Amino acid sequence: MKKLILKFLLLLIIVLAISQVAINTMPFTWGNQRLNTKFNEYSKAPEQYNAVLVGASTTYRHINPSQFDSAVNAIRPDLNIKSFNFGIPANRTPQSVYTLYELMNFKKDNIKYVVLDLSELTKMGVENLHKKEMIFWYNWNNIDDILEASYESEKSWGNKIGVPGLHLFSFFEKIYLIGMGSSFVEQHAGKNLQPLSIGTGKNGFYSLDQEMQEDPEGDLAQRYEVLRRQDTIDYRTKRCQELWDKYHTAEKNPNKTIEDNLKELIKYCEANDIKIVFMLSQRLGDRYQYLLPLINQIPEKYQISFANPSEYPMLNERENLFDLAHLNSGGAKIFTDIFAKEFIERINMQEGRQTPPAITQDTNSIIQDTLSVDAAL
Amino acid sequence: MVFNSLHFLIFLPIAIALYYATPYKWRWLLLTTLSYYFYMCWKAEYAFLIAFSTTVDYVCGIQMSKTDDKRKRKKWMLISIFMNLGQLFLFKYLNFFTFSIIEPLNIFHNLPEFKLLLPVGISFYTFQSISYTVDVYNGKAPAEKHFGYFAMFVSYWPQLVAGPIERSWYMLPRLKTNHDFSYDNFREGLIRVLWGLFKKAVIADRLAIFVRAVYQNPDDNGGFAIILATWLFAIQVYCDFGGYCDIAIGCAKMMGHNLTDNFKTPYFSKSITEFWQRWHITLTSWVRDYLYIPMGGSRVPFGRLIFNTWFMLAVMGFWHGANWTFIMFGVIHGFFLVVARIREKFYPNLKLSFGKNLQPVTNIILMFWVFNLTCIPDIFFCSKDIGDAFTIIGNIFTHPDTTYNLIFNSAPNGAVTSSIEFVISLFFILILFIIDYNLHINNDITIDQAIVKRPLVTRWAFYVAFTVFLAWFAVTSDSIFIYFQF
Repeated sequence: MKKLILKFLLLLIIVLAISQVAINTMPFTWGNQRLNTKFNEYSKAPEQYNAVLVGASTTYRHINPSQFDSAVNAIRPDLNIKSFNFGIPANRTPQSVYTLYELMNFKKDNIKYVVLDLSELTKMGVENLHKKEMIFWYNWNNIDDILEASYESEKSWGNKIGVPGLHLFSFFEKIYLIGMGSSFVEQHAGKNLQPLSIGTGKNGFYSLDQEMQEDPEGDLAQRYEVLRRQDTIDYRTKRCQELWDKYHTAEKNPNKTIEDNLKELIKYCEANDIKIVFMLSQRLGDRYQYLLPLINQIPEKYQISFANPSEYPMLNERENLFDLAHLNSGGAKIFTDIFAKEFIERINMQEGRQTPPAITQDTNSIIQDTLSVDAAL
Repeated sequence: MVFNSLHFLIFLPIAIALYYATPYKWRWLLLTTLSYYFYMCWKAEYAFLIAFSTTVDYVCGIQMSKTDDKRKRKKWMLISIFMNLGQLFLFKYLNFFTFSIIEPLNIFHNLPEFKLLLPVGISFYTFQSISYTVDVYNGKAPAEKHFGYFAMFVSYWPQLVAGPIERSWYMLPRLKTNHDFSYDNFREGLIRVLWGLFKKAVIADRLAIFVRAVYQNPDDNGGFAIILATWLFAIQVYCDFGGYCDIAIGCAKMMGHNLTDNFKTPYFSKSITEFWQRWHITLTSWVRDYLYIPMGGSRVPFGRLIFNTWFMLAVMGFWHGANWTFIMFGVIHGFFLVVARIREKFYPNLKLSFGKNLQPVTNIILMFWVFNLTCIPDIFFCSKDIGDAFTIIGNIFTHPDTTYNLIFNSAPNGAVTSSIEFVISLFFILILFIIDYNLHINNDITIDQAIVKRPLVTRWAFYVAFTVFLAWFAVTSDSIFIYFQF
């Protein structure tokens, strides 16, 4: 029996070693086709970009880098921003942190500005198992933090054991590449790409209405139709406000591990002369109970929060929304400009500068200016 | 519980460890408990059906053993057959008879439909139970006196839901033997499990992507795409069912029990007769022993022999399921066997040959021919209904070819490029055929027997390669075995 167990362990170690070698032959983005396509485009000329935007679909669908660059450079030409959008759907905050470190390590000297959109934390269910998009970013360095953070995030004892258990199981799936051999072959055959997903500007921004045009009768069309009903809009606005009212004053942060990770990230960026800004988009669902206390722990100069719906009413208007969680291309234009203004404010605060008069003008006029430029183009 | 699930991955080591940790005299209780747990993971209440079959057959066996009166013995045997076939008929065939045979006759109207879920593996364990009582009646097997041992035989978890269909005179003594842990048995069993999982999770589940793309959309496909999908289905069903049997045999081997081989490299058969000696062997031998031979077997006039042969295959087709497609599957195979019988009797010298020097070429042509012959009934086997089957056959000749779509656009949601999956599938089919061919030319030895004879380096190359293949290329989405539905 002892002989058998030893041989079995030896077999597991050999297979693990082969799997690790295989993983190291692929770029860090291999597990997500959209992210991989973006990185493929970005890595063609990384020296062009000095800013990266990382996050979930609220980054991907809402921030147009070319518009963002124009808006920022119009006010602070000395920043000479040239950004790339690395947002991907269903990204979680620890995954964004992982992506950001990898990007900064890829071309540390180029990157001067980074934006990280806070999204889902460590939520994990059985339905997420075996999905490479969910687990490709797990590694030996971050698994302990993921386990700890998921333990902290869960309330019931069943989930405190079950959810980290699912993460741990997924970690083993990742390190052994279980069920991911096809992606390995696909990556090395140069087919692990989704060219349309980087958008027409090839800068990583791709609005939902543009994507819906690819498949006018697909899932996106159904999501779009749900929002055409006024009662859905009313529900959305009410729900956003309720969640804001309930959680925006929360001080106790249950996610100490993620908070520490974010603070370490700030230190790392400062040490490397990189300006970092965290963003919290409007989100539905009970995630606010974790996200608002979390962002409250981050100094103001490093964070922008769009969580309060009454502060940004235009982001709740039907003509600017695509579905319950996302803006359409018109909404994205508005959002990008507001975000650009807020971004400059945070950079100024980090640099200890006063806000220049140009950005104190009415937000709507900036929006109108940009829209007219876009229309002319 | 399915073999290619996380649940089973946890169950297997626990079951094996408990088996060896349990004193010999209580192993029957452990194995029976584990078997019922295994089955109840699917639908707990249907375990009563197995318990019912077990009780009835046990009582019938005991009653037969108490008397030498042939009439009384026959009565108990018929009770057992009636109860088992009645259960099978009720759950599997009742609606088919009601709506496909009685209703079209227009004698009764507004016939009720019984919405009963088909119990997994019912055809396997009822056939196994019937074989026991018939063998006891014929004096081929002794009646089992110990109810626990008998319950263990009927419900033995490795082969409970999809065979192999074992005989009591073969299996019961093996289950009753005290097996101590044996490194060799364990290793051979593990190799067999690995090989079976490779066939199921790496090949069968991957081919299913392409087969489904055609057979679930019969109106949208045509030309060579249908032929290609049918070839792939033939390999899929072999890897699916053959893979299940390998896992079952491997699990039993780890506990020291030898199950009967159900497949012996069937696609290297050079005649349709040989194919049926290599494909689903335990069902073929069951039907031969309990149907074909009682009908007179080969010792009957030639016309009757032809009918017996054809009828045996038709029954085997119908055994698969209550659908005209399965009946057609059996009928067509029966027709092929009948043609083979006629040729053997009237044209014994009519054989394909290119001379002794070109015998390998002749063999390859014959194997390819037999493989293609078996693909024709597979069209019916794989189709949803008989209408779809004929649409698919018609579309081979009338519909524009859709092979490009099949290869490049089959993967759902573009998760992984179809063409990549297709190339990976071809690669693993090639590996399967190379290994199967080697087993075939070595007197049909099994994979575990072949591997353990090899030098250390070759053995470890096999372990590492197939563990990597299985880990990396297993299709991890939920999929059950095709033969579970039978």
